[in-house]
Amino acid sequence: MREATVPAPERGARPQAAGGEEALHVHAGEVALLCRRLLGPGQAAEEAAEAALARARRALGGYHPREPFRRWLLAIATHHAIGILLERCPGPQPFAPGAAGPDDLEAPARPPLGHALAPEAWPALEGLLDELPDPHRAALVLRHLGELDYAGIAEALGVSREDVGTLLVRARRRVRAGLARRSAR
Amino acid sequence: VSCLPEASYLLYVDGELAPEQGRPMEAHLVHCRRCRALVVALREEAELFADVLRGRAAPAARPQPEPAGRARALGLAATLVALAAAAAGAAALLESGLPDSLGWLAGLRWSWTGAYGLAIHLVLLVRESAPAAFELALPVAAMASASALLSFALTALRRRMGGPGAKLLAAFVLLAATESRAHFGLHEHEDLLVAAGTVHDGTLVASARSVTVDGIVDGDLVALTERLTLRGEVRGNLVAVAEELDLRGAVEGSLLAGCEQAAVSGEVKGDAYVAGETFSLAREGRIGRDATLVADEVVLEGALGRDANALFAGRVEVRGSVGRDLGARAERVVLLPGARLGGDVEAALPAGVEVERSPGAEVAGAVRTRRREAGRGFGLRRFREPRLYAWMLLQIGAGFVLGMLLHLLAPGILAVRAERPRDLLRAVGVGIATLVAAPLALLVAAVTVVGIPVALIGLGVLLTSLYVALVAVAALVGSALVRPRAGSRSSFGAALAAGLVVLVALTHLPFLGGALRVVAVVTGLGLLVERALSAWRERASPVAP
Repeated sequence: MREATVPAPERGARPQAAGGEEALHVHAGEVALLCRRLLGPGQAAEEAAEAALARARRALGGYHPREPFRRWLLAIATHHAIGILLERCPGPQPFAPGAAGPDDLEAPARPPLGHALAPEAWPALEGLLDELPDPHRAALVLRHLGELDYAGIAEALGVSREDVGTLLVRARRRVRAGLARRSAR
Repeated sequence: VSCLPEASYLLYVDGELAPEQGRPMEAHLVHCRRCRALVVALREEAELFADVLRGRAAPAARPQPEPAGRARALGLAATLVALAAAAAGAAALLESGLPDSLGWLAGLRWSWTGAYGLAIHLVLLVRESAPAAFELALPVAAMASASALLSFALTALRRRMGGPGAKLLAAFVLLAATESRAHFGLHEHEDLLVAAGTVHDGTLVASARSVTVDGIVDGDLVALTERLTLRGEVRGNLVAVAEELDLRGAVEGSLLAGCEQAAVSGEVKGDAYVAGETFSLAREGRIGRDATLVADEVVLEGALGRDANALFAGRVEVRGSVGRDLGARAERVVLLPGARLGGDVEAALPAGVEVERSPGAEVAGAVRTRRREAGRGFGLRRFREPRLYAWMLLQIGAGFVLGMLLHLLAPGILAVRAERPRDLLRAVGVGIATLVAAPLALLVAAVTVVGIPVALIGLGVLLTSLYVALVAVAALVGSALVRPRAGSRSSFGAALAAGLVVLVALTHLPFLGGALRVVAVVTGLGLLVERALSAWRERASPVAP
């Protein structure tokens, strides 16, 4: 992924507006994709991406070049999208593993999906990722698209590192089982 | 560290384990192929999720230059017919006489007895020419066969029945091995003699130039030798691979022998299964139960307690008594004065040949003659008989039931693939190699006590595989014609039914039918072996804990 650069602001000065805009433009697609994956397909994701970009634009003054711009921008988008998810599922621990409903632990364990997965099955896999419960989907998206480590995911979702591990394992199992069910039809 | 749950390996793959936690896990991974495969699979899955979430395009399917459905079906059919025609032509050439320049091929005249003779000669030649190599190869081959089959059985049981079943089998095998070891004696002398008045306790396994038993073997006798003479007594079964078998004494159990010449003038209280060139039951000889004989020449002068079955025989001659039925697939069946048969005579003979029954021969039941399907003439008359079509329907039905059962219980078995004619040719090669190697391996395994049950199991597996091979070919032909939808049982059933109808019809064609059946079996066996090898390689692929 190409990393856009933003000129360092001089002491007491605002960052160059043109440079910041250009960097935002370079990464706008990623922001839209992150929101789309976290919130699912639809208008809400598009609006969330726009809002996240606007928020980043407003926060450009606080950005310091020591931090990669992409990571900074995606953190803002993640925070915004997770906030929307929190509004959808109010509660004390909306992203705790237990909030995702009962786990189908009795179902037979299935092997991980690998490179052998037929290309025709990719759309089905994408659909299954969209249909995951919010906690599972959020953990999986932040790990594999947002490239956050467990601590980063735990901070974003407000859960423990152990909960993140549980969410990721259960998310993988759900996807495998869903894919097996679809292929059996 | 034993195998850990998937969640632990996921932490490892995601780099979330502290070094002090990761090190023991890595030490375990060095030794555990299954967990290594799981780690690799979890990494692959992570890459897959990343690709899909980023909206990357699915990788293009591997280009498969497969012909269109109809062309492929025609290609498969053309290859099968070409192979069958070649096989039929070769068989006809060898059967009818060879040009002088090809006279050396006459020794290779294809027959079951010839194949047995060839195998026996080969084993004896190796034993004679390279005894050290033979002594080394024998236990190695037996152990390898036993290990491979036991490993397969244990793995299959563990998968199907869980730990208790596998443990039960392991306990049984251990008990059997312990029991066998207690009575096991392997003799590699040039000439082995169990002298009169002596008793050999337990099973005697002998590989020697000649084996002579004048005393008593208080157990089974397993002999690989040029000449086996039994004047004493074997209180168990007699298993022999020999050039000559002279059985004048008594066998309490059954006789299982592959011999060029087998003569029984003593008593076998159980059944007799003998394959060779000649078999004779002398006037004073007796077999207590059934006899199944695969030999060019079968002479029955003595007493046989129940049924006699002679297969692929040139001449079957009966002068003694047979307790029940005589079944013979032969060139000639002769019932001479003194022959007494308690049941029917059912003979499959070439056209124009009848059972030759002397006035002094007594047959309590009926004498029926069937015409051999192969042989002189095209046998078109049989197509007028309704029972042929009933038999074909039965074959289709049985194949369909077996195919659907396999598809439901173990769909991987019938998932054989042959996209192009050259795949079929390769499968034919693998099938022929299997048909040659498997019986030899079983033969070698059978000369050890531990190997006997293994060989029997292997024989059962091999015979079952020959039938499953036909069903696999039918499924393949059907899928080329119907192109079933992936994962649809009804669609698979339709393809299987279509394939069975085509295959059964083809294998009943005049002249070509027999050759087609052989080609189909060989091809199917090759495809099954390739499928099994492929599944074996896929064992490295991941299995979730």
